Amino acid sequence: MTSPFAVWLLPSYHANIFMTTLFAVIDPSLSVIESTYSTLVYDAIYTLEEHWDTMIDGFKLELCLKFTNLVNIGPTSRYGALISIKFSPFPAYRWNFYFQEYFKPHPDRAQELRKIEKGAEGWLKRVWPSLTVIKATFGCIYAAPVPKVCSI
Amino acid sequence: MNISYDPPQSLLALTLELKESSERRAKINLFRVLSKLLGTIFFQEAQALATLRDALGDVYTPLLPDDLENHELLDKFFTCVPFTTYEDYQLFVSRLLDSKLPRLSDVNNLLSPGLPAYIARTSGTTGGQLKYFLKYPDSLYLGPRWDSPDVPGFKRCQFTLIHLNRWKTVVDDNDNIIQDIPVSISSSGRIRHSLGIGPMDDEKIIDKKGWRANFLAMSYVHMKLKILHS
Repeated sequence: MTSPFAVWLLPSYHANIFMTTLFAVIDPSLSVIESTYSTLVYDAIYTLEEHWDTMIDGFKLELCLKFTNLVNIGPTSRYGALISIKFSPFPAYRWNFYFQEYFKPHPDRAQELRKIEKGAEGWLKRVWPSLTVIKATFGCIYAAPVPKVCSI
Repeated sequence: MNISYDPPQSLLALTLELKESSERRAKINLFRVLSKLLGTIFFQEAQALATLRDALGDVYTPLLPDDLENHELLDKFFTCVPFTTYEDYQLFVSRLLDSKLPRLSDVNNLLSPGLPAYIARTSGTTGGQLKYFLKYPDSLYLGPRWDSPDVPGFKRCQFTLIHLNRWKTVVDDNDNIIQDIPVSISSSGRIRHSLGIGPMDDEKIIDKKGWRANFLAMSYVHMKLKILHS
């Protein structure tokens, strides 16, 4: 997995999406993206596009944590509002400690990502050359994000 | 890269072979569920099963799938058991959920043999109230534990949460703790169960590299759609 367990314990939906995506962006060898429903994948792509510069700007943990605030992170999600997670047994100030170990400077990776035009056709394949499978529920109402996912 | 979204045409009718195969598989699965059910408190007490109890007579011994061909259990189930709703199960769920300190003697074998591995909570978006489902352990859904050294070889990014909302502690008659049963949304409970993350383990895992076993092969059965980037 590209992210530590701590990400799965984050107290807000947006912080979870942001940090999961961020950890994935750091790792160029990612081959599978998986979620229960397509809306989470959609929100992740939307988040990545919206906060592309913030994420790859040296991968500074403090900046990202401040940005997410672990509660009030943009963007306004089209689908994410369906889920609201308020419970967390851990006080917010400890997230920095838990993530720090996995946050090392990645200047080469940042440089590599800056060459990619976000949103262009096939751009995710350039972010993750080994990406092979996106697995989620894409049926019924969850088919709505299919055009978006197929175009990247 | 642009991938065209061109799903196959809907299958309007199964072939005879597929139909028979599907029916048999469904019957075997139902038979297994019923065989488990016969030893539960729910079977003994549920109003919805009163007619089935009368039809079956004496207490049943759990049966094996091989007994399917010459057993009338399924026929009696179809004729005796009405359509049930959450209301039929709520009384039994509340014995575990609403009791401050549920006792093993009251909640063991409630809806299935043993104790639930976790309690799944719905979002409450339909019907105006949360619904709770007791999820019992099944070896089919168990993988290597979170602290297993068998880390998968390929890199995955999984969007999920493993929060707990709370947990219920089941005790024996001497107030010794038997089991802590997590209460959470279904996906959280399922992942925690498959990885062996207990209610008290969050502090242990929070600084560990996350991972899950490779369920992709198994997932093909359940997948609604796979998008392949080639």
